Amino acid sequence: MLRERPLRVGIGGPVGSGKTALVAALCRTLASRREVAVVTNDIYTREDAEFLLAAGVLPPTRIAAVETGCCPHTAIRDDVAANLDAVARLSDAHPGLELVLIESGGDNLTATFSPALADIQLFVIDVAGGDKVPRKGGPGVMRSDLLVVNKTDLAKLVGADLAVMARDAELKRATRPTVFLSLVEDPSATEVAAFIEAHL
Amino acid sequence: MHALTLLLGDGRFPGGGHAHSGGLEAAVASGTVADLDSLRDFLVGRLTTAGAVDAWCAAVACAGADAALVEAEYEARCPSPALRAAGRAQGRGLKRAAARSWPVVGECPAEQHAVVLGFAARAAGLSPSEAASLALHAALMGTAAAAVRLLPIDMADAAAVVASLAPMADEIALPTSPSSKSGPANGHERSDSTDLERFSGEASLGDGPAWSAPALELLAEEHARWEVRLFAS
Repeated sequence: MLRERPLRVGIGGPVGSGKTALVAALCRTLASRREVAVVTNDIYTREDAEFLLAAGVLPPTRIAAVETGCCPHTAIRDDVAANLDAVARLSDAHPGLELVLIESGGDNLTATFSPALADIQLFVIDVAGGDKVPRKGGPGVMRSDLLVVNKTDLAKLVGADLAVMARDAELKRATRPTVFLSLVEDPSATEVAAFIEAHL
Repeated sequence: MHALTLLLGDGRFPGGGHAHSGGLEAAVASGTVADLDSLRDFLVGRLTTAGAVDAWCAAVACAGADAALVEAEYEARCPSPALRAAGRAQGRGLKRAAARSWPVVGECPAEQHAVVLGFAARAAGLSPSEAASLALHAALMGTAAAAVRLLPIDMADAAAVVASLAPMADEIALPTSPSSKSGPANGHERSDSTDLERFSGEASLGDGPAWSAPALELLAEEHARWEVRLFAS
């Protein structure tokens, strides 16, 4: 199916939860069979873009960095102008573009993407942030189209109970799906990539 | 004053301005701005130079001058590529957001923020002087809001600085007389071509004010070369 414009996938979550590593994994998995580009919103602007460039997953022309004026959630929710501009420029430069991954700057549990910016959104938390995070809820945990619980390989080291996280996530999210992920064990982020491709 | 003036001037109107510091990030890094007093000096400088040009461009675009011509005049007055790029980025954002309220704004041939702002103000039925006020408000309040993110400053104090500059902003936006002597802080007299009666005359576009702020331009060029930035400009 040929889309009129690329699918825009928002990827949000707290600082250090592994958003950039997940974006790199998704690019490695999807870029060989799909036309992919990335917009990063890190408060230190070019760092995330450079991480992706260093990982060699995308050419520089397919990565755009957006400055957020110290306010990452404003740039993805209240005033998405700079992000829409970046998406428009990537789309103009790559007419066959199918997928744009928009990574938010590290934020807190209240961050969420404007529907004007993201068609679907993923929220990434990690087990090292504490197994109570799903219970706390917030728009990202409760309403994201896919909740990703990252770094499950660290669960034993930090004393996080994955069963508790799974139970609380189900209570907060009703029928919305949750994926447990360890990029150490699955560097391709298979389940997350499949979720995104199902929307393409 | 219209309700729509407040809407277009509201920092929550999603035109993308929140990611721009109006040169303040670079000014803070250089030590030029470090507290409320130096913030006020910075704002006075911006208001009476680049701000006055912004206000004039917004006013003439609002009065119905060809937006593409006004943009050419604006960019001829703005030697810094970084400042021109920042103005265009904010203008594109404003155009996209304002076109949802006034579809005709999507057809504006210009990208520069001040020109798009004037075009949008016209679409909203505002007057040229209101468009000029909006341009100055954006220059002042956008920078003041950036100040509280870059320095240990209370937003209420930053707002008080802006309030203290309101008479100066009003004088620039709506001159009391064409031959007003209250010009920029650098001692020059302001050109009388900000006279509202001349706003709609395209023949006089080239005679518009051309105050420049070399320090702002140099700071913008330096800022654009930083590897790590919090603000887009």
